[in-house]
Amino acid sequence: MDNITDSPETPNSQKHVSLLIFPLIPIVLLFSILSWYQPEGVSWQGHWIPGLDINLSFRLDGLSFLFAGLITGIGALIQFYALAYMRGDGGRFSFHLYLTLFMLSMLGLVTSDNILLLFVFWELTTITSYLLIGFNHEQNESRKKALQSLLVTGAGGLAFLAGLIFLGQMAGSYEVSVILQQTEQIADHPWFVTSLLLILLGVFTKSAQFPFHFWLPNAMAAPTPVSAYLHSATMVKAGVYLLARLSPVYSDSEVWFYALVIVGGFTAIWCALLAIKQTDLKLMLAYSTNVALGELVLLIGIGTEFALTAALLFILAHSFYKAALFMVVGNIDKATGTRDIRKLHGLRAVLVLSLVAAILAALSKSGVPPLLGFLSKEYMYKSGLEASGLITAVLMLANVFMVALAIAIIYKPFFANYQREPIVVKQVESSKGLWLPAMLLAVGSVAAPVLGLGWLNSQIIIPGVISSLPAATPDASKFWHGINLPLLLSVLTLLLGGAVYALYPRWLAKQKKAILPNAEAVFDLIMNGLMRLATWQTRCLQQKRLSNYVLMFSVVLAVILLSQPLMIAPERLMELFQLNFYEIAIALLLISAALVCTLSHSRLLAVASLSMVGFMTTLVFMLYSAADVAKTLLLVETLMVVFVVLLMRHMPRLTTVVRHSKKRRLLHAVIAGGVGLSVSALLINITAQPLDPTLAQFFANNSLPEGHGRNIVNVILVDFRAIDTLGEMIVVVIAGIAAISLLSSQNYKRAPVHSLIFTTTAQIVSTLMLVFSVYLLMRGHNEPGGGFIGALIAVIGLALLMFAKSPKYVRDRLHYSPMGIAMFGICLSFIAGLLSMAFHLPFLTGLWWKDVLPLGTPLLFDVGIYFAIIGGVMGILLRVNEVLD
Amino acid sequence: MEVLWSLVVGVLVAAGIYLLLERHVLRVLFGLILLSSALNLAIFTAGRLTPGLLPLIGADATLPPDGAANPLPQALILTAIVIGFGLLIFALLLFYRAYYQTGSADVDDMKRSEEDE
Repeated sequence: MDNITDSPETPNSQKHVSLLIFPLIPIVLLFSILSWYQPEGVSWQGHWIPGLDINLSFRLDGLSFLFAGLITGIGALIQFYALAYMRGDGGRFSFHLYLTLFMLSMLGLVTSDNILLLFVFWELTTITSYLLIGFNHEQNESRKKALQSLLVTGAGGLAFLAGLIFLGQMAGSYEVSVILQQTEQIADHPWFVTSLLLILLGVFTKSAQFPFHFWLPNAMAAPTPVSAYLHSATMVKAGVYLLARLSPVYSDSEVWFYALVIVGGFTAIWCALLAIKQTDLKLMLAYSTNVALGELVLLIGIGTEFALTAALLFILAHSFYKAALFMVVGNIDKATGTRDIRKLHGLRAVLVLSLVAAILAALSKSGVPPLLGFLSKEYMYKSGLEASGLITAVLMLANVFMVALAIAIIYKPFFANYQREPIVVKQVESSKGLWLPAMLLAVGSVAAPVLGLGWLNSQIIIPGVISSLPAATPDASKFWHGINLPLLLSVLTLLLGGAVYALYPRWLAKQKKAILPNAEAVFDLIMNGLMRLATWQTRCLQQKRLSNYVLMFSVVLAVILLSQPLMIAPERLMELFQLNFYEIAIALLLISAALVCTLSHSRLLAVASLSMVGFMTTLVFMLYSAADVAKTLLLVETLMVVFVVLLMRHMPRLTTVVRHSKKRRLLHAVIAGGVGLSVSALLINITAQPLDPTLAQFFANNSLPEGHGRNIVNVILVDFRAIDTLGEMIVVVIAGIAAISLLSSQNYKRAPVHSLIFTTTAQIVSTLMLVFSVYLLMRGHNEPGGGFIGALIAVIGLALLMFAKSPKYVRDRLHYSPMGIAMFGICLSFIAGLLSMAFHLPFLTGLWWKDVLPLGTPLLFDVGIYFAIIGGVMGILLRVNEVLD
Repeated sequence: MEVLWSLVVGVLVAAGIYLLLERHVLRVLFGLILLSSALNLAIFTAGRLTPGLLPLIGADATLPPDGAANPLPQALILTAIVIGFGLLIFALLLFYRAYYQTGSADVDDMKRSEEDE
């Protein structure tokens, strides 16, 4: 901030040039929009998710054009202003980037012709505005306010989405142009009011209507360029845009009329009362934005030609003067370091150019002819008088406060001459970027109605009104309607505004206590309640006892499984009498091993029975023709035993930990028994059904012709379902990396096993096993074997060597780090998959060169598996052995 | 045949769950190992059992012999075994680390998940 007075030769000026791209983007967009636009509207269509009727359809008609022009035009000025304003800020690049993203989201929002696409942009504006409001994220306050606006608008967004889906379902399409043709059909639909209310909820949160108005003034935590942009052309106007866009669908409904008129009117008055109480210039402007939004909602609620003309003119006028005033306030802040109107005085001598811009903007805000503000107010009163006296009174009251605010904003900081401590004022207007954008906008407030009214009418106002009210035939708006009631009301408004300003210090003095209930306090109350509820619920569910979690989980499982009656046809059980002796023997051994493991008090006995279970299972696989599985399992079980035994010695005995009470264990037994029983019943019933052989048949038929392999299981693994295998391989390596990270890496010296015979034979055996593993790898495609089995054999061979010599010995022999080998393996498999893509085939399609050599990419893939598994498992094994022994 | 192995799977599942509910960290690990064995066996049983006829294609044939074992569950189990192995090794070291860190092998004692408590 303080760098503003630095000479232009600071290092930042170098970057300044590259940052010029940011204002350039909106300028280019603005000119493109100007050249594309035609008053009858232009459309552009693209496909996105046609199945869900979500298309990239855009449309630029009068209404969209008004908004798009404001977004890009004011966007460019804001970017220029921010270039000067944020000079010296370390994060200015991201700031401009966020601002640009926000602008593009807004632009997407106002040009979408598909309501779901519109919703996507709607949420994007929420997210990008969150980034902008919380830009000073080192400050707690900033983060809090940003989160608040995110929560309010995000919650509204959810309701909005629901409303849009209802609307789309009623119309049978999500395309706006289709929806607008079906208004009669939609009006008779039973969901009509539901969708209307949900959409209004979204709109009211976004456009900061009562009782969600509080997030907008709080969003002042953002740097001033953001406030200027958010409040003038964008974010909050998104809700207004949507109301205008959907007006043809809903405006005939009484709910629509009353909701908009009451909420809008109430917001305008309520926030006007709040605005006049503020002492911070930025907050005064922020609340006055709330007032303007209230008036706009009210006008769209009225929905007549006059009202819509007034709304469009007011959007234009408000965007111009509000952005200009915010920039001026930013300059005051920069120059003096404060925005408090009780401290500021006599700035007219220093901020001359800002003052000129501010006066013009304030005149437009007050509605003095011939500025834009006057024009919009004329039409506002016209439409009010057309509707009812009460509405006119509400509009007038809000405008009276606007006038008072405008006087306060100009008079206090610039002209007031208090006999107070002098304030230090820096020269900031040497930087053109700070005053020129505000000046352009202020001059625009005069020039647009005086010089460009004809163009405005034909290009924006008339097509815009027709967008919202298809039946309308609006007249061109003009300044002079003769001396009539609206003109008198305008004059009266100015006089009353002056009176309020004169009386308001006295009024303020009386307002020591806040008489108005604070919506933000209610919001905080709700948020705190929610947090307390979450804490309470967490405390109930998370008792931090693992056995309780497992108990809950198992009970749920048991209840789900047992909710189906256990029905087993008795003749199925007769099968048990026709079994071979060895089958029964293996089954009994399995069961008793499981029971021993469950009941044993000795670690060693438990591990022994576990391996018993493992090896018996292997036998089962062998028995029923699953040779590959049996081999793999045998090796895995062996390795598992190695691991468990290595670690077990470092864990306390089973008897050292208190067990659960007898009753609790009985409950466990019942639950476990219930789950076990229902799993059995489930399996028996599954196997009673006929098996669908389609898949098995497919693999059997295609294994040789397509996969060039005679071992169907291996062909499935490395060819048909190779991508599963790839994933699995990566999982094992990741598990290895994670497991290694659990053990700290000090190297312990370890005495090798002192047996000459073991050491010598280990050398020979492990060499043999390594050779054998390569053989198994190579033959895997046609006979039992393959990458896994080969790798596991190699690992066991290396493990033998590790026990005989030392982990270091094995590490030296491996030459590369185990994880490096694993990565090499994964890369190899990936390359095998990518090779097929080079031939324009899907990832991992097998390629074969049978005529040249019996080689193909599945073999390369298998070699990749081989290395990945060796590397991954050896990595863990070596680390475990190094750390624990 | 399927009925017998379905019953065995049930026993293994029951033993596994019972052990998972225990307090000693090693018992919990044993429970996990038993459950993973049980599930492999369950997949296998559900794919039907064929004694003595491997899903291999003979040297001069283009199709496996009639009635050969179903290759698909075998491929699935192979994947499951290897992933299960990775999981169990990780669990083993995680439990060891947890014991090392907390000084207790009682899973219900391992409650200090956050520093400030």
